[in-house]
Amino acid sequence: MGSPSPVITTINLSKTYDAPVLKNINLTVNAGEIIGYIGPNGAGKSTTIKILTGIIPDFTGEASVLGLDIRKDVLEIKRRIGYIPENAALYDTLTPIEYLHFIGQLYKMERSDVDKKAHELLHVFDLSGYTDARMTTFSKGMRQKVLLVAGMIHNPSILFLDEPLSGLDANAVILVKEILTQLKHSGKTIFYSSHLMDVVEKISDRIMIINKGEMIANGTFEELNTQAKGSLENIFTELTGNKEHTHAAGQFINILQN
Amino acid sequence: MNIFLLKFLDLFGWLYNRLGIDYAQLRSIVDIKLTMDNRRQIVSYRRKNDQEPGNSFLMTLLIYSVFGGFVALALYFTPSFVLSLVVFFSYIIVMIAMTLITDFSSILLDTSDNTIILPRPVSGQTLFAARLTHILLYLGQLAIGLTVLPAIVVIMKYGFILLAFFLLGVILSVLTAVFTTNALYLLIMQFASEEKLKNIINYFQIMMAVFIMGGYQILPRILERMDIANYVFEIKWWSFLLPPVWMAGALETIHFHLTDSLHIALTTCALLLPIAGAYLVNKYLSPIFSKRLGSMASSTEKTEKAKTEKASYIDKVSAWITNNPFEQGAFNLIYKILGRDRKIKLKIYPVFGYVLIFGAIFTMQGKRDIVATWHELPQTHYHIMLIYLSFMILQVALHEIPYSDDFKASWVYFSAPLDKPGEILSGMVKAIFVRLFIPGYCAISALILFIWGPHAVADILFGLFNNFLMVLIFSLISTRHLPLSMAPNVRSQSGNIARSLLTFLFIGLLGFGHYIFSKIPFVLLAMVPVQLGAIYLLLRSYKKTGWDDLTL
Repeated sequence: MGSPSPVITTINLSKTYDAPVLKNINLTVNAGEIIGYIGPNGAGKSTTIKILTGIIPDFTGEASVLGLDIRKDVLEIKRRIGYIPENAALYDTLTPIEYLHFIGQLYKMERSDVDKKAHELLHVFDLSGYTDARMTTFSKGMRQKVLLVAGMIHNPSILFLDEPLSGLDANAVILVKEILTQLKHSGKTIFYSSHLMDVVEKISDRIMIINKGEMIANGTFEELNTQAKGSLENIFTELTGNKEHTHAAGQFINILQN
Repeated sequence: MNIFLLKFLDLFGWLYNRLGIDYAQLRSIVDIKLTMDNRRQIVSYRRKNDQEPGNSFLMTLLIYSVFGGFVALALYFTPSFVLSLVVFFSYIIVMIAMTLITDFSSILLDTSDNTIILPRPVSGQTLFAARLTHILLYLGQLAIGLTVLPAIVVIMKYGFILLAFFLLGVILSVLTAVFTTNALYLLIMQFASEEKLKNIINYFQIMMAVFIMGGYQILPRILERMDIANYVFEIKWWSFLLPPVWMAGALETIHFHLTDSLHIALTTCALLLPIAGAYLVNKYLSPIFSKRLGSMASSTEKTEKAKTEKASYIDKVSAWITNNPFEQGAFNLIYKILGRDRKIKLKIYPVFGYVLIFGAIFTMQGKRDIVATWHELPQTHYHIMLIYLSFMILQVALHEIPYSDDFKASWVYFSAPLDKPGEILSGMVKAIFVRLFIPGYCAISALILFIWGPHAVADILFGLFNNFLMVLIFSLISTRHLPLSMAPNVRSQSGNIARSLLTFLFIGLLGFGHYIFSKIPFVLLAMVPVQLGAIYLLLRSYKKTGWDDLTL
């Protein structure tokens, strides 16, 4: 890669609520990489992403995005990154176009520009017929599509995605995967967390596994393969210490039958 | 309407920019929030239709000016200058604070802003200012509506010069209400989790509902008894704790050109404290507020452990009073939800207050001397009225229990191998009776025993079973819905009026029967087995409710 320039760096990044959620996370992400950030539920994936996007302001350790210190230049960072949250949160009494206009205004985009892009992007996602319908009636997948558009409409240099594929149908998943790959080719950096191991395995340049607030693996799929064998799913269960799945399933059946 | 409000807001754009707030962003946030308000149903006056009302601004003004009419009358008929204005400013401040707590707590604590706006390049200060502006615009309309008619009274009584200061007083009162409420929220947020805060707000809302009801029913009756014409309002040290007194005092200072130190001090308070409060809240509290909100959304992950001990106690009770797993399941579910679901609590719990208010009103009806009435109570039969008034609790609860925001979860009734949904219904009625009625009835019984003495025990016992009998009759003749199975906005009350009248007829008959029998306590006790027999038969018939008898 020659001399890669890091766009995300953290040094001993930690966060504690009542119990420690993140413990001394050190990570670097280079421009143009797709990072798959995986871990069991409650491992601290969302917290990491929320800190890096400036949503959670109080943390310990150092973190910089695009060469800017999160504590000092949070607004400038937010201007240049995109974030797609996991829990389909949007103002659902609005129509997609109204919502996207609003988002565009927060980035100070030209209204005509937003309007054009919003219509075209929604069209790509097969939502042309719903641009003026209120989102209260939308399915989870439709909302997720609107969120994807809302997170990218200002053409960010880094994209943070938290479970971006939840609720999408198979075709939309393929489309999003393709979009992410092409974004990477145009020089964007993508930091993305998911539970869908096969997708992560296919599109990530580098995979980071986090468990109980600690980074337990960081490398390409091939490198991870040296720590544990098999598919990413196998590696994941191997490393996060959940080898007992077969046993647990057997127990489950036993309990049902007794 | 939004255009009008936004144009108005544009006049202050320079002010926002000078305060370091990004006005363009603030304007778009406020714009979107106002649009959403128009599409949302607000608690205090529910609109049935889903359309965006074209002229909601004028409608709102009209509704609030009617509310303002009451206080305008008070202003007109109260001779004391200070007293009339204290009443008016108290009304404004209480109305604004109440609206803030009831309609706006959800907006103030809305964490969806965290995921939607916080990741965008919007500074915390701008977001906080946008929220505050949104609230102020809404409250501004409220204040204008409430003030229109009183302002006319002020012109008639005191002239145009005082009007100008009067309007200034209104603005300062709104500020005071907003910043006090905000500070209160922040204070509670310092000590309580989000869940606890929501519970506290919930109880506030319940109390407000009771106060409004009580205020409209009781205040006129109290005023009737007071000698308003000769009432002199004296300013004491504690007057300085009450913002309405500052405002009224300041206006008195101006109108009568008073220069004594007391009046000057009140005027200073009226002018300085609201503005200082605004400054302090914006400067020191708003950063804390955003921070707390930011951590609120993330800390939801830790779920509170339900108290298991109490639950097991209820399991024992339910096993004892229900006789089949469906009924017991329904009982446990409804019992727990009645204690936890805030929306249901907000709709049902105020009835406890109503019972007391109506009890007081009926007892004092047409009597001038409250103390003498109180002493004569033991000789009356009003305790029977109290016993039957408590049926309101059951009636309101039964009316509200079919509705829930989680109505979709009712699929379990349909997927379960359930032959007779009547089992669910009887479990529901029993849960309402045990969870809501028994505690309320115990409180009322204690009151009755305190006033009427031990000879009322037979009445209380007989009344208890009669109430259960009535709730069964009421359930049998009402349309039957599965509990928590319908969306709150689809309720239709048509056809229920006849049924309610029928119910009241029954209650009247049972109450009258009780009154006749109560001359001889032994008869009441002898009747108890008859009641139990009737309860058994009715309950059996109610449990047989089949799927065809339900209105889904």
